[in-house]
Amino acid sequence: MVRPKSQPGSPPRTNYKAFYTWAPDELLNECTTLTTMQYLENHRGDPHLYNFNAFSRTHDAHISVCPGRPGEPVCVDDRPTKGDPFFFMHQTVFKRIGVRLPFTPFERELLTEINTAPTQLHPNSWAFVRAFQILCGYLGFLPSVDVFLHFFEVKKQGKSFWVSFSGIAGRILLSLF
Amino acid sequence: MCCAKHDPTALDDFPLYWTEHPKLLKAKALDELPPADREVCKALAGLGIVFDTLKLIVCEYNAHSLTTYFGGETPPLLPSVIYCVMLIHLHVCGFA
Repeated sequence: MVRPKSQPGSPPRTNYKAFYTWAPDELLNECTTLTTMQYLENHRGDPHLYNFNAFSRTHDAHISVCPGRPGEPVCVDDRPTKGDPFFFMHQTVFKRIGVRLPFTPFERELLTEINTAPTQLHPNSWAFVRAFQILCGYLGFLPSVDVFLHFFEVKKQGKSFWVSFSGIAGRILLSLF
Repeated sequence: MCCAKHDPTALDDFPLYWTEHPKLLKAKALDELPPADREVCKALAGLGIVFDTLKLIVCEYNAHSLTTYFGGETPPLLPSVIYCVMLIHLHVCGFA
């Protein structure tokens, strides 16, 4: 989870349902287990997370990683922080898929286009996003949202609250992660 | 890939928070795309390859591995020059 360094108090746990009336109970029960600074510190030596500049040092003044509050669902917005921006992020998206902060212009444009928060996109779909950019870099063109959305469509599977990219029959570009 | 430069306007309109209504988009047809993107799509489709997502990600920070993954070939669309650009890119980022 990424937050500004100042953290005003959050609404009590029992208020989340009232704050986010649209959110199903399953989503309100999706909470981070990274709730202590010690837990985060334990990961700082993890080469998969930090040795490849998961968080660019030049951006330290603008980004900080903080533990979540116990019981705080991943769908909370900036009302608890009174307008200070933050977002949640699944650890595996950094660790296994290699997403780095700040997001690339392509990642920003794509998430904005599909109106989907970083943690709302299924990690397997983050893998498509990364692999597509690597492929474009190798082949020598800038990754384009329009090109990506020619090969993938945006879906929600069943009652799942995740958003996923799904390959199109007849024009599969990337294998499942 | 390396980190982008800091952009103070990057949060404008960006969906930081879980959205109630994500846009569930159908795939775009070729004739919906700008001409340049259309050509890229045709080129990618013309390769006739389903790329291995996991291998691409594993090779990301190792240009040599990426070349190996592509069968030792230089990139098929724009040969050799682009490969050099990528090496410089990685070097600048401290990964070379």
